[in-house]
Amino acid sequence: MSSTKVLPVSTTSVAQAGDRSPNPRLVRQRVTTHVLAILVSAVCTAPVLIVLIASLKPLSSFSSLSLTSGGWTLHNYTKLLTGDQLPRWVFNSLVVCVAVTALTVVIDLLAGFAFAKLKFRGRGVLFLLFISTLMLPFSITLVPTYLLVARYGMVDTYLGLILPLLSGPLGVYLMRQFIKGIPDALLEAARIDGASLPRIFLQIVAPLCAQPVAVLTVFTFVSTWNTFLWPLLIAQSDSMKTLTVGIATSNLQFEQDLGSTTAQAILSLVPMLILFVAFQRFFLRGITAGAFKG
Amino acid sequence: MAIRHPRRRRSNRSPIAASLFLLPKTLLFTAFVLVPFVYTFVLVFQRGTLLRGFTFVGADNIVALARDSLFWLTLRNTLVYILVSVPLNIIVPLSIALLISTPIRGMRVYRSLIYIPSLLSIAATGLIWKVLIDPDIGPLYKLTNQVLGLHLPYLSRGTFAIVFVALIGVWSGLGFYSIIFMAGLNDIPEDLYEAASIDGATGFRAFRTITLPLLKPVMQIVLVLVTIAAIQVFDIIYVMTQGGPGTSTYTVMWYIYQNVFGGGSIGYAAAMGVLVLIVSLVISGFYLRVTRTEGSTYE
Repeated sequence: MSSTKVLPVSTTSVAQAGDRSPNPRLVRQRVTTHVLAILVSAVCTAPVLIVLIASLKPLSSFSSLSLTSGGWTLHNYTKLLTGDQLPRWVFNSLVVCVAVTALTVVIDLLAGFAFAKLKFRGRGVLFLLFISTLMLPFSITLVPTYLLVARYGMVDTYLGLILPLLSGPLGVYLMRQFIKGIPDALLEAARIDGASLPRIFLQIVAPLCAQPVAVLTVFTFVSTWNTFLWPLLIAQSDSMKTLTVGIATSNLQFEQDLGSTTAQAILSLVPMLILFVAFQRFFLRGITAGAFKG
Repeated sequence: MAIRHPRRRRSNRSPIAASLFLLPKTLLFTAFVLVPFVYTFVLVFQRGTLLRGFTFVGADNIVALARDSLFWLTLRNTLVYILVSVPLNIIVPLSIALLISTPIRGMRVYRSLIYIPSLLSIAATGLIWKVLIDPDIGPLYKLTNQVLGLHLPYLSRGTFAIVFVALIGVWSGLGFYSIIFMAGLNDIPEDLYEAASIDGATGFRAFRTITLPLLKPVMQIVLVLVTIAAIQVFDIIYVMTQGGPGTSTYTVMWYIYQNVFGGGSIGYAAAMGVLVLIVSLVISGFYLRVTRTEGSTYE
């Protein structure tokens, strides 16, 4: 998948023919790489695995977390999934994530197209204004945004949860960069054939944007699923909480029910894991390719 | 629609269409970024709470802020967090990126495993680590403090807690940032290394003279991202320490939150928000200067 740029030692011709060559130096190098990669992978996954195992154990409060004894049970999960709180939080998270993702894609695609292909006065300035907020700490707008949302009566509502999350600049940037690459001649040809701007957008530009749309979809969904501070402020009643907020606020004293806490941590990971497995190439390649090029 | 011959020469000049395409984003941006941004600077000079109205108090908030020892503590804690988090958020992901971009069999599996912490929400991350270091049941606590006898205070002592929480932040971001670095590494043209190896520059020298300079654009972006994230660290503080023990792990963002929702003063919180902005502008300016003086070798 990737090339040998990183360890320049191996970029010599030896590496090219190296698949079966018994060059001892190369073998040693490969073994070292495997060992290091296994170590790093272990550091990354062991904490999750331990908690996963704990969640599958029949533990009562304050008992010791022994990973080897005690048999296995799904009790912690069935209890959570049949309760009223957790399914409600998952539902809220899904509503917010789906709405934010769908709206972000549409809105940012529209804006990205305007910035990439339409000429109008102030285009550069407006774009710069959008992009500069990538570096704006949320802390500066947090308080007044909350005040405004409260004034419009949107505290503890889905609207209040969703709308402010649609103002981020990343998607506009991503779409503009991609649409700029679409040849002008293509749009011009359509225009000469009599296609209106909305038609050009819908029938030519939008279908070509499948890849950045997929990237933005995955990225927005994941970051919305994991977003914390804003829903913490807005979801004030238990029934409006998103999953991350619900989990964080109800487990501050987790010793009371370790099984439930660990199961919640794992459950919140599951949707992201599914998304990750299904759209891995957008995680590992797409996110960086379009969005983060200097 | 098609009979617009006079306009064909300047066919893409269409301010009305453009404004329609931009309307939704611009409205949202105005409502939730621009207006709040300006409003903050009004709030700085006001006093009041969410329930009662606001009154103009001049520079009172700023004066009070300068005299507030808890505020200085939150600044110090945030600074400690930045100092631990920013360098490690560069060094660790970059090292991992160097490792996982080597083309050996099974590397895709490693890449996926390494990304797992970045899939967790901070809420879940915090819970997982709290379980691991719990003095009664935590396996990591048992390992370090009973088996190895290290007596790490973990979350029970302020500064150590901040450092530990920052390390967990690094753990949770390393998947994401190493993928960004990996993409940067893959963009470096192969022939550069070949040319360098002919000149005798391999291994660390090639890394220093080719990889690092060419990675600068990616480095800048990651630097800005992790710094902004560190300045406003909140989630992990909420889940792991709640600012405690006492007030010893208060960060700026946590203090802002406490002021707004613990019934404190809104204007006071706004003043802190502005201060965070100034600090982050200074840091961004510093980064820009440092990276500019060396001259750009890329693009």
